[in-house]
Amino acid sequence: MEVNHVLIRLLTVERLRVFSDSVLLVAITISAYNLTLPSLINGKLSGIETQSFLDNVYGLISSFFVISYFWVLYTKILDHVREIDDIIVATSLVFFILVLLIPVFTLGQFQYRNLQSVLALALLQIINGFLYYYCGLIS
Amino acid sequence: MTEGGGELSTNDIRYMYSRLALIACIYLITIAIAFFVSIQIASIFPVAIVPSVVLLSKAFGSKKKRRENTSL
Repeated sequence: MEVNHVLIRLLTVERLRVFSDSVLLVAITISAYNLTLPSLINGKLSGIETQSFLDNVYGLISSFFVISYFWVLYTKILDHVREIDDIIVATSLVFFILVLLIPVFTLGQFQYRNLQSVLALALLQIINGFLYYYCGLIS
Repeated sequence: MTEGGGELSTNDIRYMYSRLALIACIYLITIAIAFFVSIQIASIFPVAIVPSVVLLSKAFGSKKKRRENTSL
């Protein structure tokens, strides 16, 4: 019980905001990290590598907009948080983990282009949306 | 105690939740497209729809503002 109080006292809204900034920044960086230029073979671009590069660029643009969008809305919620508790922290952590998965799932959708990858990304985004909604409700 | 800019007004809450519903709705439509239309369109749809929604909201927002200004 005492440990719990100490943890809550240590974790302020400002710390949660800084943590969210860094997590979302990493999520965007992951997709930029995958960008490697296609190599030249006898003066011509490698077809497979060019396709992979374009998939990565589409994935980066798409996930960048969605993650920025979530970041703006999440920051807006934190502006109005009354007091921080275990539920807000736990929900936020799950939200961050799912946000980190967005670039991976987006890239998967562009590379595989099958029903499973489209469904996986769509369900991830919908769950993220509901978690955000829940964060807003409990704050 | 509120740490930020005070209590949220009903308009703010409505604004935030309508923006939130946008992503969920876009991906629900994507699932429908993936099942009934085409996987290719479904994978491009969310990327194409976001700029379209932003442009549409700008267009309708400026139209609404112009109407409010003329009524004043």
